[in-house]
Amino acid sequence: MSWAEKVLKVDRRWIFLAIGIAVTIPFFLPLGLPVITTPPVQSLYDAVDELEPNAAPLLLSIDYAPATLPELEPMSMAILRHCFEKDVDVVVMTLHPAGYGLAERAVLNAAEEYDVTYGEDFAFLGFQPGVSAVILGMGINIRNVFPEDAYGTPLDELPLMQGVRNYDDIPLVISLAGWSAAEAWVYFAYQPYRQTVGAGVTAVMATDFYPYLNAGQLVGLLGGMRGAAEYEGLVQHPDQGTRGMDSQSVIHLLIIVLIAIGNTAYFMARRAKAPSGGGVS
Amino acid sequence: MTFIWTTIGALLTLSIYSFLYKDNPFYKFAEHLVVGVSAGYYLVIYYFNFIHPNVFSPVFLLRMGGEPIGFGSFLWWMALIPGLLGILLYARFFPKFAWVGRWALGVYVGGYAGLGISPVMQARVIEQLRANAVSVAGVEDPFAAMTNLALGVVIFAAMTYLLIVKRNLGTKNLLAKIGVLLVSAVMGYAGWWVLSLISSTGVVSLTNILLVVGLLGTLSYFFFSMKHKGLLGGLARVGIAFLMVGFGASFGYTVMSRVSLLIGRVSFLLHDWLHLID
Repeated sequence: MSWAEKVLKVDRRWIFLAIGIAVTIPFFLPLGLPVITTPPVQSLYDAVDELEPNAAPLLLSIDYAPATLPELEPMSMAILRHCFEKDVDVVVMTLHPAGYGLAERAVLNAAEEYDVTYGEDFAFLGFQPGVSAVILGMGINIRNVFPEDAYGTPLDELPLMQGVRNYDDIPLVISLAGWSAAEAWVYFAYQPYRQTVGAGVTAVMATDFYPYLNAGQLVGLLGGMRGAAEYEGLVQHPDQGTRGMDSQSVIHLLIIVLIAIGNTAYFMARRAKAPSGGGVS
Repeated sequence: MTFIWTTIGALLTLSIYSFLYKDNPFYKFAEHLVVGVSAGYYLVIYYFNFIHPNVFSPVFLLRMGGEPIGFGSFLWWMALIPGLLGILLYARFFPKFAWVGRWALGVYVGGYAGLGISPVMQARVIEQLRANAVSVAGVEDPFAAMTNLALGVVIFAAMTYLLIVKRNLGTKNLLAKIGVLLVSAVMGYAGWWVLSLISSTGVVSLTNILLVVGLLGTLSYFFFSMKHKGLLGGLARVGIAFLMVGFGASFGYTVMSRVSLLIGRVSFLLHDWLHLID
């Protein structure tokens, strides 16, 4: 059996093992590779940074489930820290049923790090099903969709929500989603109401969102763990996103090497098997 | 207490990853647990966030959003009718009455189409057409200008190399090859510079030219009413090249996404469970 055939028949579990080792080692031996900020992330950061402190709140829609937590939770933490650091009020909600506990966890964990008060500096509206109807309904009156916050307090009793009726009173919406919810914010908040929308999505979805960014329908875009790491760099609070970037780089390098080896072996094996071109005897 | 829950999470994580070696009872247990817990969790969340406040409470307790409502009032009917339509969906479990469920489905599909068609058309067609009506002359952003310069040099260098230099200076000598590449680069820069002089602003937006060429090429590839020959065939081939670049970017992002999930789990095991890293 030739070298190429041996490579092509290697047990895939060896590759799993190599990937596992490559992910783990950078956690113990960090490479400290730089994370350079890209324009879509800078745009979203600037949009949040320009919000007035203690004025109209940012609406953060945490629309992800546990399956996409490693990519999207670092984004929510970085954005919430940015807001609390600058005294920008935040209203958190979710369009995903499994996002309820995750949204609550993110906002309460971030709030613990700052001197902020529930109801005055931030609020959690909870979950409502019916994505398009919820987003469209909030454009008319948020109270029609969320009459109470997640803990049963009527919105009028929250100082933060007094004077906040619909999108006219919300300067920026950011959706962090591992599914089509971020697109729904473009369809049903940006298009009919011209609401400024930013998005943070999983890397696998990011390419689908560049057309919206290019057309100005999104003010900024965070794509996957890398987007989160860039935002963490901008708010100068490295955390889960930054921690994973060394592993990410090592794995990408390993996968490139594996693709190169696999293709070389494939073509070598094919050439070896090809008939050696017989002439007429 | 936190340690116990974290340990349970860690053991379930390891059970799921044990499938990479081979299928086993630990994996099966964890898989079934995820399905069961998810179903229970969704049921509770939907009941307390939707069915109770929007159907049960107004219809039976005569309260909506903390406020009392009248029996037979407009709000009462607006809670009852959708609730009944929702129940009709379950008629499909009884073959004789399954057709009744179509009423609810009809209302649902019609409502969503009414809500969705206009904004989705606006977002995915009209706005995208507007975004592709771009000027090919002039960019103000310095980053974009630098990108244009780099792209211009690469494109013109490649064109010069393939169309002119390679035919006339084709050689196997390494030094001569490097010379050919340098000539191509200089010719590339010259080509970009000449085009810039022609444009009104002195700068040619090659990214915008690429955008328009890519759009027309890709659309040509998906135009099946004529044979892909001649101009259409050429444009379609250009479209394939742009599609391949798009698929490549998607593949790279997909790898990044899947690896991120693994990183998240490894970080959980090493940081949250074993406290081996900061």
